[in-house]
Amino acid sequence: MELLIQKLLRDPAGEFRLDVQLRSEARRIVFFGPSGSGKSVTLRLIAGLLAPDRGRIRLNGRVLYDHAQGLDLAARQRRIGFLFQDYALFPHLTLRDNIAFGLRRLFARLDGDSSQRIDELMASFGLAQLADRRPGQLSGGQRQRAALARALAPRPEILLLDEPFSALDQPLRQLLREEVSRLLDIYNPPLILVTHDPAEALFFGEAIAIFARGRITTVLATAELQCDSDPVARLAALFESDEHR
Amino acid sequence: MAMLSQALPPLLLTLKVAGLATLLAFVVGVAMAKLLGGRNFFARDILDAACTLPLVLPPTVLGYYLIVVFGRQGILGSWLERELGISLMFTWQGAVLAAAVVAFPLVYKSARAALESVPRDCENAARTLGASEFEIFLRISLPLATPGILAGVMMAFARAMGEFGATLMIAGNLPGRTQTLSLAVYSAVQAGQDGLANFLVLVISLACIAILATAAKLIKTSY
Repeated sequence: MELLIQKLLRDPAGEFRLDVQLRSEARRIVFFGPSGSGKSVTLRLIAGLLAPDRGRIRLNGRVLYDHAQGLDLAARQRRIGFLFQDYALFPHLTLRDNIAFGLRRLFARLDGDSSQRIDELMASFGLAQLADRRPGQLSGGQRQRAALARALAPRPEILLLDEPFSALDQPLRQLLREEVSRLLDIYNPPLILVTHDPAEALFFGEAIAIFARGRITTVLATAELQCDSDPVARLAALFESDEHR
Repeated sequence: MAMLSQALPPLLLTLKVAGLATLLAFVVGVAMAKLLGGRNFFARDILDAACTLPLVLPPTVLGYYLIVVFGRQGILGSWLERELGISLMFTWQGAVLAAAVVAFPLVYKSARAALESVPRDCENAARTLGASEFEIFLRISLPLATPGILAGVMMAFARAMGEFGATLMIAGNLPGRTQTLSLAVYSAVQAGQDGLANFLVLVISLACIAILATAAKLIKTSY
């Protein structure tokens, strides 16, 4: 993966300059840093939900964006799965229709293969009994699993997870972290996960990119960190030192 | 019985005119809401104000505008008459046009608010799942905005039923041809037919109460 992104964001509070550079061959990358450091914005830029000002985005040898060549694939052409922080399930569709959304185009019927894939996904995500429920009738954990199944259904080339556990309280958070990890092991997509929780970063990442004020300051291999006496404390320390610099 | 036979033609005409006018206002109103609700572009605020104008202008002014545009000497009207042999003046189709213009802002305003309240990340999720912008509008934005849009449509229908001023100017007050309920009430009062006027007023009031109550129920429907 190669990321070279520059973007100037303006809002009434002021300007925010994002200048991210990252080259990594790791399959599971964590964007780690305090809130407001540009992690989630970077994720949206990769997915094509925001347009960079300049730079280049390459994933698995496929160039998604290249300012110099005037290339900018639309979000729908990028084949990227995105798990939103609040899941963004479609409230008017049943769970099954939510998961099928990416496999069925307008005015077309679901073909046999797709239908089978949805059944498989719902079975392995423990959602088979809930097929006809609407998102409003599901628990937080069920909603998260549904959103994950929906993102994985069209076989994306990479999965982006935007602070997937931040909406949950602590005990449930640990439980769901393990559950999501188990499901990710089954389908094993390359992924980028955004978090500000050091334990979560170590749990999911092969490589951890540390964000501060719109830049990636350091990239650490999790394997190296594990040799440390207290990797969580070391990550947390990096976080603090950046925040107060 | 005699009263009913006098009230029935204007009632049926009113339902036909208001129904078609609402349909017209719905299609154009939702399209304009979608168009102006997107990115900010030059003249967006001016167009938005123009779309809201029929809500605040006196109906007679609207009627005059319609005559200027669709009248026999009008910009569009003269072309319509020359090329297609159609004139909207003093026809029930003209009444549909007048009612549609007056009802349009109610659909436009509520559709705009309803479309803007659709969560951006629901649309973004659909984007990452491979949907085109048109598909997102039909499968996500429009269904999620439906309760709000329907409430606006009901208001528009009620407003179209009560249309008077602009209709009078473009379609006139021809009994059996362009005389809608509100015009019939006016004529009945002018002619001193108090019994008929009372009956017509009762009919239009009950119809509007039913419509507005339904609209209030629709606004409460949400996910």
